[in-house]
Amino acid sequence: MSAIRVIVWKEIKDMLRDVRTLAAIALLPLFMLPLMSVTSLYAQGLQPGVVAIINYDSSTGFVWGVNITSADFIRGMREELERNGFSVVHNITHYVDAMVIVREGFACNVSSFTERSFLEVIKSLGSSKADAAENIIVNYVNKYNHMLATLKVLELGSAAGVNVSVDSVLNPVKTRVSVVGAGGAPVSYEEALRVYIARFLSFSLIFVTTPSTAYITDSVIGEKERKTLEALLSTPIPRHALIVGKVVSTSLIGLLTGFTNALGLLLFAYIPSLFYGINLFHLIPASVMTAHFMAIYLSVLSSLALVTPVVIRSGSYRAAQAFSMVIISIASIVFFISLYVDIEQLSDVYKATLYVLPYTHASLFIKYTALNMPQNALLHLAILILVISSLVYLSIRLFSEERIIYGRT
Amino acid sequence: MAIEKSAVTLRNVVKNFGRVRALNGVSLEIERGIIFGLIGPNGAGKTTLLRILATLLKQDDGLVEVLGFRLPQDKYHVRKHVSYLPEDAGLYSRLTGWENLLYFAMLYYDKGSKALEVAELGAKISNLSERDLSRKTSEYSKGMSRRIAIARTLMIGSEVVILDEPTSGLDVFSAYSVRRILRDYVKNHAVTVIMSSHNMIEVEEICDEVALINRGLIIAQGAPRDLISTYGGRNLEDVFISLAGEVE
Repeated sequence: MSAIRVIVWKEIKDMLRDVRTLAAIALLPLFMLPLMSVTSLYAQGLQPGVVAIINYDSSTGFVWGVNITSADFIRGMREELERNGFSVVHNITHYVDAMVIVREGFACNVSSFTERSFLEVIKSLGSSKADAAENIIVNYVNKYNHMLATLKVLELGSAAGVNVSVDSVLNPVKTRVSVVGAGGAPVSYEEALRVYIARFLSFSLIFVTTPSTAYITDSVIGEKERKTLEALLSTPIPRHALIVGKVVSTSLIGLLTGFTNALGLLLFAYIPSLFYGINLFHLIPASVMTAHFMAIYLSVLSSLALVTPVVIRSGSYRAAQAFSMVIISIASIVFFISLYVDIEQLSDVYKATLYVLPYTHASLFIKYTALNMPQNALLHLAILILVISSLVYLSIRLFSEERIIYGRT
Repeated sequence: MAIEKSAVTLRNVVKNFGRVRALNGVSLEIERGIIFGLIGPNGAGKTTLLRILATLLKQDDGLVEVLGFRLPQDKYHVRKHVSYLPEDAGLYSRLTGWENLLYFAMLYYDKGSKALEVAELGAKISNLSERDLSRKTSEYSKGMSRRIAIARTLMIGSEVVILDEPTSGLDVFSAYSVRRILRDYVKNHAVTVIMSSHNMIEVEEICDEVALINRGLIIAQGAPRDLISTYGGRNLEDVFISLAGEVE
């Protein structure tokens, strides 16, 4: 144990003194990710979208006692667009993100019981605001359609002498959605949202694997490159102490960088959520947050445990880094999948493949904690710890002084 | 452990790296308490031989014994009694000179007080000022770094000290300083030093016995003066050139 402490003492001292690298890896994401969020919101505010609405219509219509004019239709659309930060113009003298054309006969046709009107929306290629404008316009047109359909249903009902319920004509099928938990009991909207947040937290683990693999590569192969390795290996320090010491110390730094990365990502999502009036942190219970932090550390350890057996048998930095990149990519795939896919609902072949990877269990540990299923959560936690321990043991067994000094012999 | 007269015994040691034969049946006996020099050109097998003695490489064939312990089987025992300075040994550049010494002391000694005592001895051996010892070694000159590396190897108090090219790449003053450290240490401690060098004059000056190695074979062994008188020439360099030339 004391031998491990000696290695950890030196490694931590060494890494903490590399302030620039530490700042770049650990602190930068903490500031950069929220800054990206703020600047993108600010930049969006700086770049108001412009929509041109061109009206060629001079017709009028009449439905159920209400005058229909394109001027009213356009006024409503204009208000909707302006409420969402768009500028609306009625002639094209400079760049516009989207253009809406109201053709002649619009009001007459929309009031008719036999005709339809077409509204033309033209978007500028490459405009980031055009899609947002399209959504607003389509939503507004849907509301306008519903209003017109309601008037027409009432008028037809009146003409036929039938007592009409507008909803039973326009929306005869109504959808009611509810979410139930594992036991079949309904859960609240907040509880359902927590599960989605847990998926997002699993996804955020994507950022924690990179720094730790870089550190372990430097910790082992760096010793070789800096010519300190041979002297170290000739000492009586037990090999298990050397490997465990290096894994533990790099995992602590990896943990720090993992925290700052994950925190930076949470802030990245949290800042815009405030604009929509949602307190994201309020929705994450302490148990899920704790599970998330445990998953960060265990994911860091998983990466180290996966990379170490190869690093200690790599002859060069490049070979070790290439393998580290493979591990990081695998981790990224698992965490990305966990954002969209229920791993446990996949076919047995896919499931078995994913179960081999420790990252899957980190993701499922967070998921089951969020679902308040402690037994399942603990099962995946135990598997995760078992896989990590086995891999570290494998590293100790594979350690060869000759291999690490000379590479492949 | 039986008390062996020899510090190191090698019998027909062979080491290959792929198709390259680095050691081609080396046999050698090194007595305890002497400074033993291993001299030879680049690629002769000096570093390979020293790495085998330092437990970093395994021989493919032949017998290797250090202080009566057989290698590679007893490597954990050997590591407790042997300290090794590789060629161009680096230091941990973000640690201070003192921390470099303390780290190695802690790798050998569990007890903190003993490790401190050993590191203090290392500081004394290095002959660097307290101010220099508290500086990061990234700020050191090559000579200062080598003094710390030598001190780190000697302070442990190992029975066998292996030094691979301890003065290589140093200027005249730094090389002199390293030799002085080595001589002073050996004078006061019962230790066997095995060192390799390109510098035959240096070896002649400080070694009690030398072995000349070429193409993985020991071509001569003995006290420098004996070798000079046996093979003729003004110095070891002449001896080596005449013997290596015969081999060529």
